[in-house]
Amino acid sequence: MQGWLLRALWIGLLASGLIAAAHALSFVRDLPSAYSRLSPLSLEERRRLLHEDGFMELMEAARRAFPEPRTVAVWVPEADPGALADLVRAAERWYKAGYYLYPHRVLPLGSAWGLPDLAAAGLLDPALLPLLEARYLPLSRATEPLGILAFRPRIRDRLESALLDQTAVATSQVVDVRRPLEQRLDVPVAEAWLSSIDLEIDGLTRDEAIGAGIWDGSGRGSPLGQAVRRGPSPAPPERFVFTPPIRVGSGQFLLRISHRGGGDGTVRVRGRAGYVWLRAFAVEPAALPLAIHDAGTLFVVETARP
Amino acid sequence: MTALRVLAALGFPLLVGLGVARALPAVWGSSPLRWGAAFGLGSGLLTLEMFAFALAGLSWDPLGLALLPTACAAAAVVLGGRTEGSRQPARPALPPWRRVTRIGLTLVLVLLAGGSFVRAGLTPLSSWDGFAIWGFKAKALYVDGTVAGGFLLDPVRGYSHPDYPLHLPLLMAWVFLVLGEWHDGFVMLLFPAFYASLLLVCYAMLARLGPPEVALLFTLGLASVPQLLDHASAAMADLPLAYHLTAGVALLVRYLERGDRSTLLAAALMMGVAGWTKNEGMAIFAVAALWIGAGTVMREDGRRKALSDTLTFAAAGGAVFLPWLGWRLSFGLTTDLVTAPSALAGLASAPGRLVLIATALATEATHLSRWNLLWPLFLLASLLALGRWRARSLHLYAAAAWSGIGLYGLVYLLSARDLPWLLSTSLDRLLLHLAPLAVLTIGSAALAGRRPAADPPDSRRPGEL
Repeated sequence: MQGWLLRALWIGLLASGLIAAAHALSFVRDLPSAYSRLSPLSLEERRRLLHEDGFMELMEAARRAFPEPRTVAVWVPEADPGALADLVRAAERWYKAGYYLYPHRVLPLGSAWGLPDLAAAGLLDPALLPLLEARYLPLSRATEPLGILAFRPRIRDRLESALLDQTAVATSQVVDVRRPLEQRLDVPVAEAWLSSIDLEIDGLTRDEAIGAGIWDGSGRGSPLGQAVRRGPSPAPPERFVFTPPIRVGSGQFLLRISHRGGGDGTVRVRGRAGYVWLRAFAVEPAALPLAIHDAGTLFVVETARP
Repeated sequence: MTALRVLAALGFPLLVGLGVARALPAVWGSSPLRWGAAFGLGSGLLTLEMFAFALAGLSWDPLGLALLPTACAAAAVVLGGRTEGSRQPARPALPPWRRVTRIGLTLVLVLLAGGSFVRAGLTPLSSWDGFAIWGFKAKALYVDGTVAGGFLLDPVRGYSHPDYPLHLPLLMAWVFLVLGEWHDGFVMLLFPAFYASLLLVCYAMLARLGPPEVALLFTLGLASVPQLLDHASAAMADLPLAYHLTAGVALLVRYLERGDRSTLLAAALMMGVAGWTKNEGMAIFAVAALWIGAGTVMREDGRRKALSDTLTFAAAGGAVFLPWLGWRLSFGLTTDLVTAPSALAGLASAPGRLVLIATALATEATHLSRWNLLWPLFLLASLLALGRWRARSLHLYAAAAWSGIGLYGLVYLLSARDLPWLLSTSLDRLLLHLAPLAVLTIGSAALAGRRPAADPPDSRRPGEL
């Protein structure tokens, strides 16, 4: 019996040696291509390759948006609450953001993950848990300033639907238009604002809004909200009151928007050739930022309690 | 300049470990074992020093941290004796084919280890646990400059498993400190360093059982196990833990053979660092302490020493990870993997859970693209062990590996977590902890009774203790 076992062991070792040789060969064979592909790249570029499109840009945008440590919420939507793959993906984004953004504290939003812990820690009102577990933003009750990082895809609809259930009443906003690539910053900021940013009102694009006669499309005029006197949607007019964008610093514009609630309620700031970094300062405790979108891959929204 | 800093960050733990090895000259028996164990011992002691500095409120200045280990290593070099390896007599010339075989196999091993360094060096921090646990903590420790940072107690960051030991995060933070910046590219080079050290340890132990060419072949078999090769360039703690466990068991085998306290101390330190690396290491350390007691009782001259040696092992090894354990328990950072209610529930539903565990284990162990034929061969070698009563090293390696499997099986049985989820997310990594021991078992079974051809390690018969 022992002899048979020993023979079987040696035969198995021979077979495993062949498999091992194949593995080793494959490992060594793949090295030159990996080396030639990755070695010329900077670490930052390799990180970009490692993650999904736009992730590192979002991290960079967040670092610029929030220079001081603070709590940042990562919106981690799930297509299907029961889908394990989506949960895994959501958690992975949360963990990665936690790693890259430390010392910022990164909260998961838009998911039931960890919410009871957050409530137990006094970060969220426990009464809101059922609401939160249904994937609503807890911004109106959060006990400290939040930044929100949101990922595409699917973010737009979910963010909007969450926001629209709130009753935002007044928000003043500072809009900062930037380009993700440093070498493209030679475009004058004022021109960048005018040429690359659109407001999208009630689900209409800039051109559609202009065609419908609800917006002159210039972004100028006083008040801009004159363009919203009537809307194509069932929503009542004059939900929004815009002031003209006022340049308040290099690359920054102040845009006051009052939202009176009801209706579709969507206002999008769309960046055509970059991303939009919008800092929103809530005027009232229950205030919410407007839904902000870009045409690219990511956006960052920061809100703060007054 | 950056290259020098990287070299210093990686080389310093090795130098510290070599200093410790110099202070315990009777332990090693061969240079590969000494060099293989050095990196783990050094990294363990360096990170313990960082932990002590943090608790004492001292800052982590790299030069300040390097001062004490450097002084100790220098004293060990000056005062320490010669190692056994360096006392070996000149060896007879080898036939050309054997020399060529050795050189060829060594080159392939160097290629695999070197390739792992290249692959790790090209890849930024990766893997789920790398982001959520090890890399995150390393960055937090580096940014905070201390262990006492609130991130361990922050429920928002609870996903980082604050109850996990800090050996690896502190070692990664050490790299950042020496580099002077957070750099998740260079820090990845730590992992192939553990891989190469593991291969050295395994080669050293296999070379005691048979000709070096055959030992190199078995080492190559281990080195090319896909799961191991993958972890050689991934920011996970499982390969470092596998290395510390294997080196610890190797030293325990030498201790049971020799019965000397210095080897016991080295084994205790290595197993203690395993406990300082992952919680699984602490549990296996406790099992090892029991095995020490049993092993020394079985020695003809060891019965009276059994208790004192077991206590020495427990005290020396426990001194490595108990400070961390006490510190984290003082903050209420407990491990909830197994709780009293879950244990009762697990026992109540034991038959069904055992079937689930066994099925998952069998499925995983026969996963050729992860393990090659490692685990079926380990099973064969274990069966062989039943009939080979004189091959004690075979029994020791098999017992160590099966103890680990049994321990992990018990944890699965009693765990509070959802069992299918737990199995699917951890079983492959837990088997990785024991894979080198499985290779040593297979090697021992295949080589038991054969005499090393050219360089016998000592006067004992190979394969026997």
